Order: sequence, then structure tokens, then C-alpha cells
Amino acid sequence: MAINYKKLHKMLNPKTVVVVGEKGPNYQFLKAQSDFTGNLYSVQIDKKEIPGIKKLGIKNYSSLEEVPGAIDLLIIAVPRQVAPFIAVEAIKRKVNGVHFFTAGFEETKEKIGYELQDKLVELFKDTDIPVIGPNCMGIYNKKSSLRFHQAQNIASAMPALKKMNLSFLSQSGTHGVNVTVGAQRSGINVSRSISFGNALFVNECDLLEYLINDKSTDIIAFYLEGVKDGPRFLQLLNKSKKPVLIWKGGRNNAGARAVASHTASMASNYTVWSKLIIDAGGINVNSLDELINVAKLINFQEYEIGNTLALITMTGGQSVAITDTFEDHDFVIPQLSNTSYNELSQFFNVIGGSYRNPFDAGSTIGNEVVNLNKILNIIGEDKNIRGALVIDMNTRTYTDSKQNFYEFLNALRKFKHTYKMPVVLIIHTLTSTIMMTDQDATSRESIASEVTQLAIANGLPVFQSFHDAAKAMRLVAK
Amino acid sequence: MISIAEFKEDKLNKIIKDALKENRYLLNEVESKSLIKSFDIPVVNTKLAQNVSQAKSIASKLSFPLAMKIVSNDISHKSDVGGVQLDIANIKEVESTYKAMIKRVKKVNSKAVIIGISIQPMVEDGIELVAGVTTDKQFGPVLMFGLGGVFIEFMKDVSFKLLPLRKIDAKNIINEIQSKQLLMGARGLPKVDLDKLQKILLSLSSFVVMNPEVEEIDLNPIIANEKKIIAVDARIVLKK
Repeated sequence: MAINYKKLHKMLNPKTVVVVGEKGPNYQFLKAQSDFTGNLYSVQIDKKEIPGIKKLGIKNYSSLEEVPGAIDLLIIAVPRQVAPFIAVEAIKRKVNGVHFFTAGFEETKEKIGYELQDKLVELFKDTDIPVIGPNCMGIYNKKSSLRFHQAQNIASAMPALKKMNLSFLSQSGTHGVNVTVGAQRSGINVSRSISFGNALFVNECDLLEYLINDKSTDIIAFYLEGVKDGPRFLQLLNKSKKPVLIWKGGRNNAGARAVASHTASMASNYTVWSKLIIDAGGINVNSLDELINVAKLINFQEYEIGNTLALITMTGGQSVAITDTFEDHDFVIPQLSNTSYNELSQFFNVIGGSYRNPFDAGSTIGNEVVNLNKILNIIGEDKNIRGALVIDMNTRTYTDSKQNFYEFLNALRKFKHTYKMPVVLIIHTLTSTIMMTDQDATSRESIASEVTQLAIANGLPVFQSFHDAAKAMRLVAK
Repeated sequence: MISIAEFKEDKLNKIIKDALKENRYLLNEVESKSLIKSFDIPVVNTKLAQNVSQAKSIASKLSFPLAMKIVSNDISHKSDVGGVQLDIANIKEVESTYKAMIKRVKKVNSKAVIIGISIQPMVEDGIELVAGVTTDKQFGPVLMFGLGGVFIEFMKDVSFKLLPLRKIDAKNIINEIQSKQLLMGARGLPKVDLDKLQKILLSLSSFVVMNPEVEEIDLNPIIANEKKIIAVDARIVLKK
């Protein structure tokens, strides 16, 4: 079945949504649409359920036929045995697109599951109705507040730093919710999240092709356990000018199979997968955190990350630790030029400090933005540093004087644009607040979180640890 | 080299068809080598001996030292069952090796049907490489290249490319392995002819593309030195 992209577009950006077969007390889909900007209707014949639906203020009909106007998206949430009957109704009613939340098909490995699935294929195969699912959470669209989980309304409440829009395609509904919320909390605007389940009709390639051409998508991310059409997937990755991050689930499953040749034993599914994805221009990530961390870098970095870094920490121990971590990830921490060293020697406090790169700069910077600015200008002018500046922030500055901290962030933001050099911040909940011995753990965490939000608002990506930053930077560095 | 069209008609069909007729999906070393040889992939001249006198007669026509390997459709990893003997210096050793190897292999794997023992000249020292193709469930046939021999499983220094291999892929896959410096004559090691190596990888790719019956192929090791690049062992698995 060829995909009708016009219909798919309408389905992913619907003006009218109908939910069939919602059950209380949760009414998951109906409740999730509390802010939906279009028309929302319900179709339910179960007398026990109708009062609950009406109580939500949603108009209920007893059949699809009675629903007025065009139906852009039909969400089917009936039991699996009923699904084919609703499918027949939907085709008759000429709905634009269908999402089957209903589960219990091939994923159960039961005979009846396969039979019911075959029935759905039989019914839809000669239509051009795009069908998403079955066995999935469906469509989130930030612009119209179409959601598949109530938690996703946190996303609209969060301050979104509108730089780039991330769209997420997932074979898992849970990850679909987690990425929507988690990425948004990290300052990344998530415009779409689509959970597509068994991909019986619309598959990962169709959705990727849609997002490649989608105006509201700048970064594409996937959670995948496998692809239906491997060669087409690679072709599309090759074609995409937008970054595509791929988090593969089940990486080690096939490693143990008994094989006759060395080539096959070396080619565990993930080794081949990750290599081919990289060759096609994709970025492999191994967890939700890594996905968000890489998206953060892409979102906040207007300038390309390179291999030669300047590292600033506030203490000697941390300056060694940060250098080890970045060198472990194949970054170079070069010496600065003699000119830079001459200038630094004029003001840098070398008793209990060092400016060789890494910088142990706590005693020099203190709460003085003047000295931070001097250091930044020297780094910016130094030709040995081309990759990025990574700075381990201490929240002490913030607790001492919020005004000073704002000035620090301002200085870093200016430095980034003046020298076109990426800036990465580390705010470690534990070590960055280590000086706050008189306060309890909750306030330490809330301070770290406040500081992080401030940095995000200044367009500066924040990581929880040296390792998180180094790993993400390695994945995107040229 | 005969033309590919002739080859398809003739020899290849026979070896592959015969195996499939017998419900046999693993081709032995002698069969595998004769298939790939026709695709311009250099392999060590290998003859099958099915008894001691055949072994002696074959050996007398080759230049010592020789290598002898067990040939059985039931054994895929020959060295694991004591089925590989290297550096055989003379006819007398050929005879004793033949007898000892049959005995040894039978002791380890009594059920294996032994076809015979392959005899081939030893190849001069060089870097041991591996090239192979496996069929990935999602992406189809994929070519692997890397450091071979017994190091393959320890070093895991290999790279992969989708088939059919393009010229640029052949070049890149060699550059992508960690130990590529070893091929460039580092530390007094032989400098490998990289153009020739690329051609072999491209031939391997064509072989699999032209023969969709092939599920997996292993050329391991391929020995490479200044003078030549040659596959010492080969193994082909057909699709079920």
C-alpha cells in the first residue's frame, strides 16, 4: 500500500479527532486532549462509559456515521476482536487516517492475533487511508496540543527555548512520552512524537520521509527495535539534511546465535547496524539520556564542535578529572600559545591555580566576571583552541550573588557568538553544590536545577557530568 | 579466468546445485576455493587427498613446507578439532600427519563424516586479514573486512559495508580498521598492495551479488605481504 502523504499530513496535524471505544475511569486519550485546539468527539455505545465521557464535556455519538464533518484522525481503542468491525465502519465513513491503539495482534504470537492482523491488512490494503499501529500510543503534536498521554501537557507548560524542533518516532509508547517530556525539560522544543507500534501500514521509513520534508522538524530522533525496510531506511538517512539520531533497542539479543562463519559471528546485529547507520549519516545513541544530550548539543550549538578544547574548572582535582574524561573520548586538550601564556601570567593567580589548559581557575575567577572575561578573550584569540570551551560551573557563585552569576552566563554567551565557538556547561548536582554544606539535599538539587534553567535560557547546553558531555560531543564532533 | 556467464552455467551451478541437492548448506574448503578462484580472487592451490597414497602423490608435486587440513562437511572450525597441521617438511611427515589427523579428528568428533584431507603449500609470512560477507536480516548482504587469522575474535578490528561494494567503499573499508597502519609497512611489516586488496574486495562483492544462493562467505585468513595477497582458507554457507 503506497502511502498517501497528503492524508498522512492531515492525520498528523488533525483538525477533527474522534476516539472510538474509550473506557473509564482513565479515558486516556480523551483526557489527554484537554487542550486540543481542534474538534474532539467520542464514539461509544457502552452505556456504562457514556456518562463519564459526557462529564469530560466531550460529545459522544453512538456510531461513526453520526459524527458531523470530516474526520482527520480516528483513534481506535476497542478490544481486538471488535477492531475489524470498526475498520469496516471507518472505511465506509471515509475517515482521513486511522490510529489503532488496540493491541493483541502479531506481538502476542497468538494464532488469533495473527488472524485479526491479517483481517486488518485485508481491509485496508486497497484503500489509501494511512493507518498507524496497531499496538501503539499514536500521535503527539505540540502545536495543536494533540497528545497521547496527559504527562505531555507538561511539555507545553515548560519554557521552550525555540531554536530547533525535535520530532521523535518510536516503537515504544513509553519512550514516546519520556522523550517528549525529558527533551522539553532540557530546553529542546519537541514538536512531534509518534509511537507507531507494529508498523503494519505506515512504517518508520514513511514517517522518516514525512519528517525530512516537515517544516516543523529540524532534528529527527528514533527509538527502534528494527526496521521493516532496511535498504530504504538507509537511503532516506542518506537523503536527510536534518540530523537523525537513532536509539536502537535490543542491541545484544542476537549476539549469541550459533553461526558457521567468522563473518557472521563478528556481525552481531548491532555491529552491522551501527556501522551502516553511521555510513548513511545517522547518529547512534544508546539511551534516552544520550539521545537528549546529543539533541541538546545540536539544538544549542550554532557552531561546529571540533577536537581541540579549552577546559575550565574551579579546582585542581576537577581540572585533572575533566582532562582525563575528554582525552578518553579522543579530544585534544592542547597547550596555548606563548602570547596567551604571557597575557595570562599578568593576572592569573597561580598559587592554588593553573592556566596551562586545563584551567584551574577558581581562585582567579572567584566572583569576578572581569577575570572570566579576560580568560575567555585569551582562549577565543588562541588559534590552538578550535573545538569548544567546556566549563565546570560552581553554583557557589549563584548562591553568593545571583547578579554575578547572570553576568557569568552573559559573558559565556557573548564569547560563544564573538568567537563562534561552542560553549558547554557542566553543572553536577553533587559536586557543583559541594560548598552548600549548610543546606539540605533538596535545596541543593533545586539550586542546580535553577542554575541549569538559567543557562538554558542563555542558549548554553548543560550536562550533568564530564562523561555525559564528552560522550555527546564525541558523537557530533567533526 | 573463464567468463562469468560461462562460469554460472557450468561449474558454479554444479557445485552449488549438488550441495543443495544433498541438503548441504556448508561448502567445504576445496569446493569454496574453486568457486571464488574463478572470480579472480587469489587462493592457495589446494588439492584433496582421500587416502595416504593420494596424499603422498599430491605432496610430491608441491613445494614444501605444506599445510594439511581436514575436509568434512560436518566440521566448520577445523582447528578446534585438531584438523589443521602446518609446516609439514617432507613426504614422511605427510604420511604420519595424514594418519594422525584422521585419528585425532575422529576421537574429538566421532560422528563427523571425513571426506579427506586437503593439502596445500604454506604461504610466506605476511599480515593475516579477513574478508567475508554475511546476510543481515534487515539490510541484506554486508561485506566485512579486517584483521584476520586467529586475531579476529580477540582484536575485533573489522568494518562493514553494504553490498554491492562501490570503489569508494572498498577504499574506505580498508581505512576504517583500527590497525590500518599495519598494512602500510609500519614497524618493518610488509607494505600491502592496497589497490590489489581493493580489487579483491570488489571481486568478493561481485561473487555474492552474482550468486544469490550464498548466505555467508569467509576468506580467513588472507595473507598479505609485499609480493602477494592470497586467501589461505575459504568457507561458503548457502541459503536454506
